[in-house]
Amino acid sequence: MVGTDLRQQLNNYIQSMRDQGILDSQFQSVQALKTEENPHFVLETITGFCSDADNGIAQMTRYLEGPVVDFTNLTGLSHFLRGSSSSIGGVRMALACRDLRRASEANNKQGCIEGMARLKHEYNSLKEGLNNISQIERQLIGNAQRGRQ
Amino acid sequence: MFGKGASSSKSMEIIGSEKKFSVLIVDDDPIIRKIHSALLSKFTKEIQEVKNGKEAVDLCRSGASFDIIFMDKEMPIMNGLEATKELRAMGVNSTIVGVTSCDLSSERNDFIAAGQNQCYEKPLTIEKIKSLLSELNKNN
Repeated sequence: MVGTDLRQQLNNYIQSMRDQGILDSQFQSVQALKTEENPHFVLETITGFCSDADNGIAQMTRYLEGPVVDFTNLTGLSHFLRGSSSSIGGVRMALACRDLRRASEANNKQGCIEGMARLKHEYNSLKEGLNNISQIERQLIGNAQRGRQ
Repeated sequence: MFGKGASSSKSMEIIGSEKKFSVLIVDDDPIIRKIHSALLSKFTKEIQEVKNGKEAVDLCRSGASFDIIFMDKEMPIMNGLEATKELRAMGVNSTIVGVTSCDLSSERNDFIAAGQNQCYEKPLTIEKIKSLLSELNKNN
């Protein structure tokens, strides 16, 4: 059945992200929060996370590239994104945030530059995977809604 | 509320069927609030959310009361430790649970000194919540 194939495709894709270390088991905990009353929970969470991360990383780049590095705000935002990314299972991104925060707390500009580059790399990997997951989720939701009609 | 004197497994049944405890989620991250709210909704329907410590203090000062307050540590305007101290000074005796993204072992003393009852590393999970409720049952 199409639905079963799609679900298996989703599970396989998530497993591949876990095998690469991009996601951990927390993502499946988020999936488990999806209900019939709120079938869009995973999609909404992914969309919200990516929006916050896009804005946060853009802001952190400005803090780092200004005439004077704003270590205080850089520390705060890296901590914020660490929490967000770990809550969605983005373990490698969370680690990158942790390391960037440590560099920022030490007022280490070069460390922050390297940490920022790594954070962007990890976020791009995570975002690409989450976008692919979202596409499959949308198909599953659409199939379920058509099945009820 | 938590089945005083009951065994932990019976208490969980009581909690599961009554779902009569109220929760306040205090976190500046909307994604964390969304996930934690959805998690906690499996245990209770009485959930409120605010986005910083000052809003939590103002809410309690206005007369709202909660059985459990899940308090993030680092938030703008008023952080979790400051909010906890303020709430305790006001006489709020809710169970306050610290939730942090930082290394928990280094922060546990700060949380307890501020007046929190327990602390967990983010993210909350079903297992952590069950463990917390079980512990609260035993203590009550």
